[in-house]
Amino acid sequence: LALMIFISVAWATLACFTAVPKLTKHDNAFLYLITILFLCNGSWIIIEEMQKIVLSKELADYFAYLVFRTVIIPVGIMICENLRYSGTMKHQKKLVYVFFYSVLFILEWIAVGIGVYQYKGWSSHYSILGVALLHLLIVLVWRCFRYFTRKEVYRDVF
Amino acid sequence: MFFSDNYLSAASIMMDTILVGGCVIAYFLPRRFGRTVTVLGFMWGVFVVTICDYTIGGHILNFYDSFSSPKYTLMDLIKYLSYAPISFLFIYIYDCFRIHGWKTSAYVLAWSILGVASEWLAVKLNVYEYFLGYSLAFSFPIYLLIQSVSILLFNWLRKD
Repeated sequence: LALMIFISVAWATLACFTAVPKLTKHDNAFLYLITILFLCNGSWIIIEEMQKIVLSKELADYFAYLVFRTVIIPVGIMICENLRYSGTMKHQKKLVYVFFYSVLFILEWIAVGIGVYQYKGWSSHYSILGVALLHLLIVLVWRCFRYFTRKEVYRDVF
Repeated sequence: MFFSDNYLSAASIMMDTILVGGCVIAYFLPRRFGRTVTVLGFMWGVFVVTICDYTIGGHILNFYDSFSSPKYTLMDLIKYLSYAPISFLFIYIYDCFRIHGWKTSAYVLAWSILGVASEWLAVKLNVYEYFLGYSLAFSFPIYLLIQSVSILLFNWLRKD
């Protein structure tokens, strides 16, 4: 059940991504790669080092967790940033953030409810806060990337 | 503990050598790509090894450990970074020699053999330790797949 739900949500996330206005492919590639790097390292520290989250021993549940970590969260962050930098209206941008974090919260709740993982001294709020901080960090690193690469364009032009 | 590795072990020295040597070579090579492709070329290697480590090298699919411990240490970070210049050199040489057609397959095959050979050395030096029936032979198709995807990704990124 968990795998079915998470694959369906991943499909919907990817479908949304194809529909939103796009940044350049380089920006999107960078966003995806950097999100995965931070997310994998961060989740490993929380799960294996701090042992605040215990993953299910079932293979299907593990794949559901992988889909959540590798597709839903990174692509969700990419959708938010694509919309933020597109010409979409301001209140719509805020709505996208609210929607994304609401969906994450619901998915966390479902994941714990159907046993994809269990919390040990942890809660959904911490997970959402963790993703929000990660999101902030990704945006900062991405801005550095944009500055670094755009600078080259200007230097070549002038 | 994060700093619990033996930094003078053969495994650590191998990783440090690849990281420093790879970066020095990449630095002195004539410039071929813009900054965007260069950064993404470096990041790709780190991305691939991170995904593999946290998917088939940990949690319940723990087919291998690095540095004889499942713990997250500084050497793990250095190991991830050491793949950055390798992925850059992979696309650099591919672009430099204008490889296309059947030569692309031969190029991927050659790098996959090189990858298996270097992994064999890494196993001998205790960088990697296998579990759950995993063996070096399983790595070969993984290298083929990842390097083919790398070529596709690079061609896609370069195309305007």
